[in-house]
Amino acid sequence: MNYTVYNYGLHVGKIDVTGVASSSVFLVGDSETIRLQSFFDTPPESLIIGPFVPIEEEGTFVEERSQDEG
Amino acid sequence: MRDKRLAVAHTAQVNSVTIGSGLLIGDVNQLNPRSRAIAVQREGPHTIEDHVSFTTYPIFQREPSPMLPPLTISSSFHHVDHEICVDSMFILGASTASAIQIGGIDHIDAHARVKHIRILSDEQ
Repeated sequence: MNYTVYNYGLHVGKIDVTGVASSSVFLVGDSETIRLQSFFDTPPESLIIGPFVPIEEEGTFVEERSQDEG
Repeated sequence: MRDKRLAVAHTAQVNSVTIGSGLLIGDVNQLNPRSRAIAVQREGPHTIEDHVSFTTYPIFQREPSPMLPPLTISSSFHHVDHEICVDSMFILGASTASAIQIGGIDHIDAHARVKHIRILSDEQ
């Protein structure tokens, strides 16, 4: 198989972007390879209600409260 | 694609570029932005003074998926027009291992890891 590309004129007027986030790319130009990876973790156990408790079995989230906080 | 087209941007307005991100004008060979973040949303007027380690959370230890094998298709590129033109662009923000680039780039390998935690003081 032969993959042939002809790049003719490319003229864009106005671009309006709100956000480029978490391993994303906004590119005006040519590129060879692009590899974008993003890990995002917000499981139900990430929602902590009430007093502080360890939130994951693999480790603990230790809070050191200062004395004036009671 | 060895020879890259010229990127022409007349106006570019970017509000903020934060947390391992970049606004790049010109040609780049390689770009490897990395970001690790623990985002804590806590109810109440507390200040966060805790020392939290990335090793506590498995998301920061997980191995990424292996690279796909490179494409072996024979390809050819013909630039009839040698310019990519943009009149104006407005970008509010770039964050967490991201990039805004005007110009050619060979390789991009970006990586972001975010652990999100919400802490409420009482049951609603």
